[in-house]
Amino acid sequence: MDSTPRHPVVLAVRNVRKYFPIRGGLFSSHVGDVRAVDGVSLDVRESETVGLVGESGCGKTTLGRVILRLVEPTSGHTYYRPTPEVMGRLDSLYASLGDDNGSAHKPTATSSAALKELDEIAAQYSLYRRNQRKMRELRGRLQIVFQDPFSSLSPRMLVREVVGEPLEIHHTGTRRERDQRVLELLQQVGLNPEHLWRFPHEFSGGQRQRIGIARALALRPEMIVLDEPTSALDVSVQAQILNILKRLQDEQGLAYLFISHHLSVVRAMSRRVVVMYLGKVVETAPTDGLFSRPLHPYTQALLSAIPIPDPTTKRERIVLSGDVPSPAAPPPGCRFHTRCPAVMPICSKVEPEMTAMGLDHYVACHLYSSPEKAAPKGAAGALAMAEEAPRAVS
Amino acid sequence: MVAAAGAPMASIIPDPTEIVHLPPPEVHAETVEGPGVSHGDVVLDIRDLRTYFYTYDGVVRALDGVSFKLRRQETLGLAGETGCGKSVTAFSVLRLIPDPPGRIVSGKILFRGADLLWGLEREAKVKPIKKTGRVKVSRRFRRIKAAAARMMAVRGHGISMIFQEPSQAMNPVFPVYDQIGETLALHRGQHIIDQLLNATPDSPELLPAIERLTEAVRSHASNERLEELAAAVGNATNLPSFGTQAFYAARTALTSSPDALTIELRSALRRLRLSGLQRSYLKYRRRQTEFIDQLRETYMREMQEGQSHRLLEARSRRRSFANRWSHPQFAVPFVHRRAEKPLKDELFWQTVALLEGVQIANPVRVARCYPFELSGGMIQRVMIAMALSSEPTVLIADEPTTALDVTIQAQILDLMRDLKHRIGTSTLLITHDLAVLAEVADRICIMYAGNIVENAPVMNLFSNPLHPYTRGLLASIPRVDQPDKRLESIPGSVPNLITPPSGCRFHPRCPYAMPVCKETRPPMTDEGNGHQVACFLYHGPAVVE
Amino acid sequence: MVDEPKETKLRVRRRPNPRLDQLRRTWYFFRRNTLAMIGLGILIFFVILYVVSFFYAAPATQLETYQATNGSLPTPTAIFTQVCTYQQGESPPGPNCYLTPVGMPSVIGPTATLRTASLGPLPFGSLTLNPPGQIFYNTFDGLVKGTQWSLTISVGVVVSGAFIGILLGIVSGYYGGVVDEVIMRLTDIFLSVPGLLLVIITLAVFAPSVTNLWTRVGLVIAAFVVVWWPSYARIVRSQVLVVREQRYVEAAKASGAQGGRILRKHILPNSIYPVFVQMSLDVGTVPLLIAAIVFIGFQVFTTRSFPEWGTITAFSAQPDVLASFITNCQSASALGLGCTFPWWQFFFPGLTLFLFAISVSFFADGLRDALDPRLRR
Repeated sequence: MDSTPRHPVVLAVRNVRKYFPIRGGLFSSHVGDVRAVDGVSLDVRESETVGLVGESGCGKTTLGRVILRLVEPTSGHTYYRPTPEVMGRLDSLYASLGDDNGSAHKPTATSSAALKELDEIAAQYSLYRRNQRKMRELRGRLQIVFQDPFSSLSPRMLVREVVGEPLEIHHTGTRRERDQRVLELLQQVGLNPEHLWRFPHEFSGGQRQRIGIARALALRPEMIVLDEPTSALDVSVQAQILNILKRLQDEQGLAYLFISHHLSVVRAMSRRVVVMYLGKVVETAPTDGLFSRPLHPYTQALLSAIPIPDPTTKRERIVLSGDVPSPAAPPPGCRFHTRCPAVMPICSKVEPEMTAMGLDHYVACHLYSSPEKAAPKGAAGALAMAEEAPRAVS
Repeated sequence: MVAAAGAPMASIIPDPTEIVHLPPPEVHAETVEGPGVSHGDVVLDIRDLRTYFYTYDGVVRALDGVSFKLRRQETLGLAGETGCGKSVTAFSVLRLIPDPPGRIVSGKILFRGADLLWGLEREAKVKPIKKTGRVKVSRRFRRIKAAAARMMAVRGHGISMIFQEPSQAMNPVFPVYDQIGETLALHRGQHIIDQLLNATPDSPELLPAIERLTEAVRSHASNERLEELAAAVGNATNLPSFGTQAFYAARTALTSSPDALTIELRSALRRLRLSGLQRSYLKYRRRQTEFIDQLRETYMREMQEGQSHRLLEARSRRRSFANRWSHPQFAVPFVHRRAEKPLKDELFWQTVALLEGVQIANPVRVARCYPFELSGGMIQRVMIAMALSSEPTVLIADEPTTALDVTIQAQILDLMRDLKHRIGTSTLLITHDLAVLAEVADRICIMYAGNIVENAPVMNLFSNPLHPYTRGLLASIPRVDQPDKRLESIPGSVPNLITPPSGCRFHPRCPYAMPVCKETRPPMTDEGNGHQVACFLYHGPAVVE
Repeated sequence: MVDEPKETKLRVRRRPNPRLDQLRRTWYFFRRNTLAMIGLGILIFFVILYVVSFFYAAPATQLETYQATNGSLPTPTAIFTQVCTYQQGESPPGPNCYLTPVGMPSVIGPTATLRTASLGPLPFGSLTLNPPGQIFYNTFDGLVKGTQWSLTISVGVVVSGAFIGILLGIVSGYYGGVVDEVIMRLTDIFLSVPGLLLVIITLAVFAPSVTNLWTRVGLVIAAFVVVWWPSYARIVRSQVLVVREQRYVEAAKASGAQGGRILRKHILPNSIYPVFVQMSLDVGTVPLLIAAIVFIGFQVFTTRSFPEWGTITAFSAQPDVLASFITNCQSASALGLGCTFPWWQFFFPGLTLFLFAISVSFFADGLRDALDPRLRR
């Protein structure tokens, strides 16, 4: 475990799953699930950026929304500001429950006591247990900036209304105070007062993204989920936005969950990186560790696929064969085995567990796993947790 | 009476039922300018292209004097950010600019000795309205339509294009083989029909070749061996696509039963045995393609010689129309389907061969698929296959990998490099991602706000970027291999193209701006080693257009 | 536009009006469409007519039937009435008399002669009362007065229908589930019955008991609205289904917005534009439908010859009216009088309907094109 004192945790995600039911047949019966997110755990801390990478269909976007409860999860918990003691309890509880692989679970005395304690902690800290009213209070503190600056702003609202909307919803202050705050926010992201009176479609992509950031900052958030904030932008504009985001993080101690498929951008921004594939975490490590020593074959392929703007570097490119399988029918065992260049017979039968590889670096791959090195959940566990009673999905 | 090729036109009164071969036109070969990376002659020469859009808010000067040259077998990257005009350049070359509101105002695009923009001045008149600052554009729509029709000579076989969003570029109601087949029929129709007509399904070497193939299948030979023998089968029938069909039949027979292979191939031979109806249909189609080719040639001549040949155009059109109606039996649906079957099958197998060429693993299955059944990377390959099917001289690729994931992008870039070596088409690759260009391009043009600011071989551009904008761009790209690099952003934002800055359009954002930058536009200067830049910081000799 | 924020004044001086600018842009695009401008011109004419119609009162003159006994006037028969005009204070009969069929809408024409008998209302002339209680009118007056009724009814139908339709459509589209199903089945029910038939049945059931004019008009509007709202609900619902998936709705939720606010501020403004176009088109259709109902023989309003465009047009085409025209013509020719078939009674009301419907159609087309962002260049 990393020994440097870390900032307090804002959100602790544990074993979150989101399945989308597939309806088929004559009576639209439930024939299967799209397993968008299948057991993801991670921590987001103040003043730090966690980078979440993966390709389209890996579930990172869904995860971002589930964490903020914009989408109800199928199972799992997201704990808001658990104290370090609670974190410790959670680690030991999940560890004691986690040995059971979920296939045959007869409740033992210890496991039911553990479940009960887990339930108590969840009732107090979990986002998903809050009622609507309490959740609204938290909305301001957990915000999101979207990928597409073109559709994330209502075309018929002026900038003033767009940025001021969160304030209006929560009835913060008088009209005048709200206008004042909107001006402050625009200033923070580098826009001018006259921009208040324009419509979003009159702005360029980069400016719109700034408006989106201003809106997210309106209620003084503690954490912002950045869902591919710069993917639709040009390179130099991207640099501007990333610099703004970094500055805001330094000034206000914001926590970021930076979701992107551009590894180079993630490297520039994040302190820690989580790599996802088809709904599961395959590797997670501090940024430098991941990029200098990628362990999982998928991470290696991803890294080698990034084009480098330097014609002189010749690289060995690992080209993956085939396409990404559908999340409705994920391959058995390790989900990556159909495309993995280092596939072994066990990979198609057994799902690998997260293994600790030292220096806070964890990977889920049979190349590295051995029973003694099973990792605590706190890092980024990926095991199925059948004991976690699935919440009723609305 | 057939006029011999090369005989002077004036003395022949052509018999309306015979094909007239036009004498070859006068073509001026372009000379290569300046030292540097030159693979040979210039295939596409763009000179001072100006494209404006006349909108409610004013005149958008999207391209304001763009000039560059594309050489044979060269991959030229056109890089720049959103709004700099790179896509507009591509559309201007093929005259796909919607008119109104856009207009190619002036310039020359030289391709195969023809100026593709011939007749531009006469298509519209632009008059400024006094009092308001606006302009009135009077367009002569007939001329504009005629100009667009002339481009038919060049689109496809001359210049081909692939677009940005692969999933939206294909018609969703037709399967892949239909769409590629259409392109093939349009551009290589004559050749394909000739091959079909000359096929020899009853050649004596055929049956032994099929036997050898069946033996190879029975003994589970390697893919290469199967390919060889299948190709031999194709040679025996004088039809390479039959060889393709044999190969895939053999592949499936590997898993099913080898004996079925012979039976299957024998029944497949049926498509080569043409009935009288089918033969006459093929001849009819061939005549159609000839007339269309004639029309293309006429258009090309018009653009090359700079004068209009309306009579010849009308003649070709009349002929193809007459040909159509002189065979009314082919309009009957039932008859039509039977008659065209061999051609459709032939096009199907040619499509399969094409898809092989773009490294698709299962071309027979993909050819039968509808676009919505294919992933983005696959569709992009199909589009590349479609674009290359007409054997173009120039391929324009507009942001081909932007919408794709990074691993798929890696696959496509590999494919493009491979095609570059194998086929050697000149490519104009448009993208905003300089890293992609670092991998595939030979030469890069950087565009900013409708102008080209730098034009250099790829090595020179990255090792020694001259223009301040290029430097700014390179400094703002985050690098995986340089984690501590600070992301420098270029202050300000892209200018409004309705009221662009005076002089050098980059001067409001340039850290090195000098007073002269605000007054005059910097000319393109040659700084040696084929490196050209438009900036007053540099004082090389001006590049003469 | 700067990268680094600079000190800005936190007080905004001038309030520019961006929505006005948007309006101006729309007008610019609308202006360039010739057909749309023609439509607009004709519509403006109708609007002026509408305003005028409230104040329009044709001079009404007392009428008496008069049986001529001798003189140059022929012997009246039972089927003819002699109609004369006279000013207040004069004694009957004045010099202006003519014959008109009994019971027919009769018109006093200042220039009428005894040579011909009109078989129906003359195109111009004054409004009369004959017999007391019934309002008769000439074609011109009828049309002018009719503008008031036709336009009021059309606009009333369309606006009410749209109101209900939008409301139900938004709720149905946004909430989905059971609510959506119920509302959609309701629209299915209403859409599966032929519209005209439903209106006629509604009127047949309720109308006879309603004699007050304004209540009657309200009933007519309601009958049409019942048939009209489902199509608006559907249009809005399909738009809402698209809009609710947009990112900005998600963003509003992320800021804590609840359903009502989201509906009001985000879904509603972005979903109603297609409805506006449909509304403009429907305004032209309603008078045509009223004409259709009257044509079938069903009396929509309180009297058979109510001054409303559709009624005027269709009334003259009623079988009994036509039959009496024809028999009266025979009688008139028996008396030595010529007869002119009142073609104006059909032509001008029909022309008005046509102009109204087509101008509205052009206008709606122009509006749609001007609002469509893709065509805005």
